[in-house]
Amino acid sequence: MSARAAGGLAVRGLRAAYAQAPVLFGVDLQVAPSEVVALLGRNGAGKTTLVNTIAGTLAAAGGTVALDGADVTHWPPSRRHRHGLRVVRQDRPVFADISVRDNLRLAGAQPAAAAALFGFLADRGQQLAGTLSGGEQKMLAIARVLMAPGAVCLFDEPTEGLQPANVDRFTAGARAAAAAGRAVLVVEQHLEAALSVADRWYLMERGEIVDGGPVTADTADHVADRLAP
Amino acid sequence: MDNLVVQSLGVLGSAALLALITVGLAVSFGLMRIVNLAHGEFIMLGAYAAMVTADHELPWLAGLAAATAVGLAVGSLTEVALIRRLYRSPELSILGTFGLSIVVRQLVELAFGKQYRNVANPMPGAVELLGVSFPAYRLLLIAIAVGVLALVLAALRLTPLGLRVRAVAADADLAETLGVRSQRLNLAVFAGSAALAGLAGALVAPLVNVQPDMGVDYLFGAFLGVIVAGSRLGAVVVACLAIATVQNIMTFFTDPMLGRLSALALAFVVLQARRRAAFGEATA
Repeated sequence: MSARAAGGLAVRGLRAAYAQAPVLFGVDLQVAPSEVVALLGRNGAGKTTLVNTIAGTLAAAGGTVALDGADVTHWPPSRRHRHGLRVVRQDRPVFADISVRDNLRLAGAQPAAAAALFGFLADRGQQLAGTLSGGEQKMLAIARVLMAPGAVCLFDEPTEGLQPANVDRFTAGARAAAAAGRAVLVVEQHLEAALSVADRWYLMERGEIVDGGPVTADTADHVADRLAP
Repeated sequence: MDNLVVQSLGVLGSAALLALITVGLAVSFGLMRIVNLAHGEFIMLGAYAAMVTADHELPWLAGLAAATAVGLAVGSLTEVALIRRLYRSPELSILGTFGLSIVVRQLVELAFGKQYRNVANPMPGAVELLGVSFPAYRLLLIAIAVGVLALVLAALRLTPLGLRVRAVAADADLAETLGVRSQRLNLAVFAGSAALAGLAGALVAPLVNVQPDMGVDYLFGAFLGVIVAGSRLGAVVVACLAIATVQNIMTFFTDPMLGRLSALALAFVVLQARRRAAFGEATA
């Protein structure tokens, strides 16, 4: 199937490298509108490299990335954003020296809507984002994506450092985004959280997709076996 | 007491002008990691623009506008033709902008000659202030520089454009993923920085000899300002005030060379203190 034909996110034969060291070896992945997909894998499997290549902050060495039917492989990140791509990075997810309110404004997210998702944001608008805890920074970045419009949402390790109640808020928000027609990709090491929100899953190893399918009652055990040393 | 007032006004004038020159340099460095050694030439071009408009008997304000426009145009051209090829490489930017500064000086020399020129003072005479007589034009220069500086800092703090500038300076990749077109922003900031330098050149033109290598004199203080202020824009004003205070006082009591060396020593002390603070934080 051509990358252009699909809505949502379609990745075909994607390759990427840091300097001369290849990290992705022809990744195929698709997230349809109204669908939540979990991307699972050990540390170092290439998940974050895949997110960075889809976001455009790392250049693709081959293959294609399509957003809502448009081939964006060679677009800069800002153009991908204007085409509906929203990303929560694993590292440095917010601007530390910029206030919480301005972090939200930059993404076009309404502070009131963000506070409806994570209540602590209501009275911390003037605070510099860098003075929030790691988990709070992650929640700010999640709210920035979920509370602004955009057809495709990518979350890289969104539940890292979050309390269980806030993990539940994230999963509810991700499901609501999918219900509103958005395509959601959740990159996670935390199996339970990922599978509780996803419709389908992919497993990544050494820069390739090696397994995947719909989420069923057996998926957690199956993936845990694959991830066991 | 009279001397103190005169010295204080002198320091304020030097600091305001220095801050006007430095703020653009600091934003371009924070945003693009460009060490722009041609910034002094933008000041010089502004002074020549003011001189040419004065030669054509146009009003003094037209000279300020022309100098700002020349800075904006030359800054835009420089960013598109040179600077965007040097992003995030301070070493290459030093070489590239040093070469540009030589070319610009030679071109101005070819057009206007080597000899210095003067621009008539648009506001001669003195005004009484706090019991002392102070040159009227210098007071006007302080007012304009402080006003423009306040506008620039307010724009960076309070407008959506300023927010995007701060975002790219903090993390260009993250800003890009939020839809900020960093290349377009870099062009606007570099051109704006050159426009401010051009305006500063027109402001100082009636006080100095206008000549092709006049910009070098201002580069020293501006780079000290960037070094002392670091990446904090609000600190540019404080840094320029501190540098102007130290340099003016030492120049008054000793000579200009010791004044410059004192400013250099101040920058060295601030950098050492910052390094110690960072080291302390890292090991705490």
